[in-house]
Amino acid sequence: MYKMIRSIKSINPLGAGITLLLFLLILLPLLAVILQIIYPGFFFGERVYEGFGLLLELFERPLWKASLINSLILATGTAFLGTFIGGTLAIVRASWKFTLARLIDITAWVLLIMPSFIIAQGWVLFANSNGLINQWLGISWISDLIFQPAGLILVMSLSKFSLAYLAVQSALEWNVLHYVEAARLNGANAFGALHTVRLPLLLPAFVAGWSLVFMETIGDFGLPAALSTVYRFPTLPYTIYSAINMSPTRFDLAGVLSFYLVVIIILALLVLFLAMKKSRYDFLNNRAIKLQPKRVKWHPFLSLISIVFVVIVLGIPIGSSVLVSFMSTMYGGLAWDNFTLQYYIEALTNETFLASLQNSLKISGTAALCSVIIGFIVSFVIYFTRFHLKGLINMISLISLAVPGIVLSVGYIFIWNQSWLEKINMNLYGTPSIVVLAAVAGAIPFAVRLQIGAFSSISESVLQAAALQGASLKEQMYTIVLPFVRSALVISFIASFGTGVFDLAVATMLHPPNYHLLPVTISEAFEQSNYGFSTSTTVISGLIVVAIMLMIDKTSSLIFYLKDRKKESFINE
Amino acid sequence: MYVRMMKLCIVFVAISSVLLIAACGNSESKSAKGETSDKVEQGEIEDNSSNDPLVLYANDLTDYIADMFEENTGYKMEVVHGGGGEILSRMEAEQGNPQWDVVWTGAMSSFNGFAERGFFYEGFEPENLQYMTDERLALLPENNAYFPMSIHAAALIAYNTELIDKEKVPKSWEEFLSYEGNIAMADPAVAAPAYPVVSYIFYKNGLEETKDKFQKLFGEGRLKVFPKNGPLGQALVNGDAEVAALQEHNAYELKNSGESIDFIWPEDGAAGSVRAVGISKDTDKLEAAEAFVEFMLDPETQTALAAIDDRDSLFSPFAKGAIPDPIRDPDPYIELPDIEWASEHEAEIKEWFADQAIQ
Amino acid sequence: MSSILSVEHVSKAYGNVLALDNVSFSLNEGEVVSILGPSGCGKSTLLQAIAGLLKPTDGQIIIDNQKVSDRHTMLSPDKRPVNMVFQDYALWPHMNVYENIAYGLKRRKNYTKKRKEKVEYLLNKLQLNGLAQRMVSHLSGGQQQRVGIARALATEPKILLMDEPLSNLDIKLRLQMRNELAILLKELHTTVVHVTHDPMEAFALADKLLVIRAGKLEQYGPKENVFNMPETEWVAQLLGYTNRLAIEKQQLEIDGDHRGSIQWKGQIIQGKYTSSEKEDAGQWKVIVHPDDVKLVNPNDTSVDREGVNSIRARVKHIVFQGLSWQVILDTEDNEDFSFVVDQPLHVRDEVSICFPVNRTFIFKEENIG
Repeated sequence: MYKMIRSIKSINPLGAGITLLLFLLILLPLLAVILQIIYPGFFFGERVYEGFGLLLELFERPLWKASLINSLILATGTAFLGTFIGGTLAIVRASWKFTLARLIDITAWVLLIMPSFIIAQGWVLFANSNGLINQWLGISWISDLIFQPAGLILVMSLSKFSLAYLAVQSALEWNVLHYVEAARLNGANAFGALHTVRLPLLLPAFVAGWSLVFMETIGDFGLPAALSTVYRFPTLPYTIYSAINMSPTRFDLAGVLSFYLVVIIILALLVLFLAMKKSRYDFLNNRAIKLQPKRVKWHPFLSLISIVFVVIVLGIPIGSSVLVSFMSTMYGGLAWDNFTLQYYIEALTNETFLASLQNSLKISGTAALCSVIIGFIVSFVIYFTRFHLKGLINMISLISLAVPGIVLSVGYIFIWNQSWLEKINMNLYGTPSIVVLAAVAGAIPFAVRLQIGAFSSISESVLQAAALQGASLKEQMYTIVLPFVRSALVISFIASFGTGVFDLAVATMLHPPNYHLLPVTISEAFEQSNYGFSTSTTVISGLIVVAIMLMIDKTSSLIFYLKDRKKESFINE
Repeated sequence: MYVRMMKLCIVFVAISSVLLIAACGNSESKSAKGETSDKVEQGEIEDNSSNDPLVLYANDLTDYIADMFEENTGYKMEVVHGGGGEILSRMEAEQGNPQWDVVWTGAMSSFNGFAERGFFYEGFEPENLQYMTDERLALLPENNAYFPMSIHAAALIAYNTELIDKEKVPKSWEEFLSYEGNIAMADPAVAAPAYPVVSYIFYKNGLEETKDKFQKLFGEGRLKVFPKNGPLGQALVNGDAEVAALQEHNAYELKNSGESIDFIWPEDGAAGSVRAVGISKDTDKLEAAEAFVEFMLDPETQTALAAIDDRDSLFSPFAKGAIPDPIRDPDPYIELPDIEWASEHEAEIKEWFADQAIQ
Repeated sequence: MSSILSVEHVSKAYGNVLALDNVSFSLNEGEVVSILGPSGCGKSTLLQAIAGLLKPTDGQIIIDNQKVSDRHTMLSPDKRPVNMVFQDYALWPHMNVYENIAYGLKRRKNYTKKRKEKVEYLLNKLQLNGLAQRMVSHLSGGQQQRVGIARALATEPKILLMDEPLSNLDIKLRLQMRNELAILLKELHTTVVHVTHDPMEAFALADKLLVIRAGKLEQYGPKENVFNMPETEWVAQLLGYTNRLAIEKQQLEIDGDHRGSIQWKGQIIQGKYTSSEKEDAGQWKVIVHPDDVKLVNPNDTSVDREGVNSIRARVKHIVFQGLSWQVILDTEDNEDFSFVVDQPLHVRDEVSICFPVNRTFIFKEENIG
């Protein structure tokens, strides 16, 4: 009792507020999904206990069973192949010096930020039975190769390997050479040193990469959405979407499927934690690699391989979309008389597209800003306060990493569509606000992880020093913490913004009636086989988003530069 | 003390900023729809100049209907466009809190189900029902929960003329199901017109027998299911399927645009999709909603809709005296399954179909 | 002189571990105290409690007649009239030297005009002239150290706290900075609480020593007093009394006020005896500072043996130290006993040594971890 009183007395309002906010944004929707399983209709005013029977229904309907199996096959296969590709690339990149090594880094980051439905659409345009490769070169076996589970695993691996690449790469940051040398001096031969020292040191990174790719793949909505028109491969996220957006509507089963999805992802997350516990480095940070690669005679060969690789992983999906956007008809093929700008003109005069572009930019801008602020406060509370629920905050921010947009959206529908909320004007379902909230929640993992990385470089004594100089908490944040983490703030804003604009899952599930959002507009055009329109809008909006991201980046560095200059001139006065 | 205040301020700003953004966006969009309470009262004292538009959920002809309605009656209307399945699921999702006043779409069996669950305002007797033929009046539910206004072929049998000869084209749904090549259809879970097709085929040929036939087709991989009629038509053009159960206006469109596509009206009747209008039981703009029903049942409106240069204008109006689109077959043979039967088996058939289609 | 700092019964618990255990002491204005102890003994915890960087579990702290912390309340560091030099300096890498030093001044209203003057005074005082606009990451270790001190002095704290200020410097620089710092502190007349594990640093800088062992205050007093009269074997060892002789179980002969004599291998050793225990029998240790040990010629009888202990032992090992040799005696009981001579001796030779009685300490044996 005494303890309780004490803890209430010492509640930190900043920590309490941010915990409440995270709870509202992330934990509550998740709890709603789980509650919905035992109390179906809870959020529609029918509070009847139903037990756990619904959970078993998954195994009775072939579609749901197939979705579960498909998801597991796709995610497991992609995790292995993606980790293999990413890990190999990282080792090659770290071991040998070659001219185009940077190209692989850039590719990995581009793929990490690029929306998966756009990558998948590119692949569909390329490999479809009436796609580019068949149209021009008459290669029809590509279509058969891609549109089967193994082919999809290949496509997914080629677009999701980045996470494994970055995880292994950050492990290679460690200069493990002297460990290897010690092993050699102790009598191990080259192979022995490799498998007793080098690989065990790298294994946690591979496992971490594996689970990251697994989580990313199993929660992915873009690929099945883009595929749905050409190849039936229901996965859990897509079936959740169908359960809510197709007839007959089954909210209860969307909840059940979401629950399964979250359970699987949490298992993968546990694997990740185990791997991270075994290793002591943090992946997904923005620190540079310092292991010096060796120069070898055959380095042009490595550069050549990287070019081929980049052409496959980026060139095919992006190139296909760009080419199709300039083609009058798909059948016309690559010929001058088939060249047209009509789709661009159409897109630029299309009100729906312009409205969706505007809405999406606005929403993801707001969401990115909110998530950056939340990320800042979360990191501050975790690093520099003695708030009791720090662990909970950290846990929620990690859970948010694991919750796919589609599940989050289902939870949001449950929470924000209750009739009593209407009375206090807070029924957000069917309004743009719910998209903003979901986008904020979706951007939180990025914002928090990136900023925690930046915060970890601030030693506590630096803040204590400021406090002893008489700086209040606010002043400490503004004068010490902010300058330290400002570039991380900008990066996380840019990343949240860029990914938010094209978040298909949240947009599809939550967009209000008549409120157009970019990913939905593009995806719908694609579904209607209106490829010229979908690709030209993709290209236009992609260019605009990249331009905005670059602009924010350049402007912020300019502002930082000018601010630093101003300080200097102040001293010179 | 000051520090504590400062911290409280930051927390307050953090929470309130997120909630404020949410609430602002909320009230903004709400007032756009005009559902703030004081305005509702105004609306009830029949004020045609009121700024609150009537909200219509519809999937076809959405670009025209609002202007036509406003011109005709003076009521403002906001149209929410969505796919057939999307509208149904949205109505389902909003059951505690409907955002729509009127709905107009071609999913009569689902309407029947909704009517039983009390989604609709009942008992309205539109004057313009006088124009309906007795045959069509039979489709009207007893409690007047919704009002059928037109019918069109949700599917007729379309085929790729380059792949098969006209003689080999199935003449009826029975032949369609036993066709030896690749066939295709739209997904009843997604496309509004697809369930009328499937339900009609099931109704006509018997539930279990038809299940067997479909199962055989799925098992042999000869039946492909596409989410919507657009991609379905494309698949037919590409040759992914030789024959397809394609919606009437998609078939006309492809044929008229010069693709190698032709179609036949099945001997046992094209599966019909009935467009109907319903009023939400929770509407606060009953006056305008009733005006909309009258408007839709008016022969002049139906003629005007049919005259629009749009593929969705192909339909048979229910009002006596309304003139159908001239490019269309003047007397198509369109059939419907029993509405009660179709409604009763809707969830079962859709789920069964979705389960089979994964093979 | 009035007490400027008063620490009363301060404890700090981390779970079941007491980092500070009922520590009390007070400090007068202008005094420099060194908190001395091995790493992990709680000395930094004490400093942080004074600074307000952590909240004691119990006890109270009064600075300049203002209670800054007790069981229930705690004044945050920015409200306390203290400032600190950090072990890692904690200079803000995104600011230059000027900004680092001026940071605290910007937070004092009465300095708006004199700020620049003040910073320049400190730059001058700490020999940092011309470095004002240098980013702190481009400074040498010694320069960073001086910026850290200048920054701490800028706010004119009532108490200047220093957390192992010299430990990050290399040995040569450390010796140099130690003397500079000692001169600076004398000039400033500031009250300083300084934490170190190095007795030489403490001797050089402090007026008073506060020895902490496992969270408990072991001894507190003017540095000479503490050095000349260590109260426990542990303190003695910490302050450099490294020579020890183990005595078998026997009765201590009490010769007078805090004086006793005891036998080691049949040779009588007299020394100071501080134990208040009534029990005089038991295991004993004789503790002597190496610098007090002199080699004597056993044949030279002219030497005055009054007030001096002399014993004979064999040489175990000799370490060449350049100008001198360190002689390690074989005490046959695994204890260290060494001294320095200016000419080499031979291993295995038996030598006679002497050390003053008033610099010999006899302690009851205890376990020193």
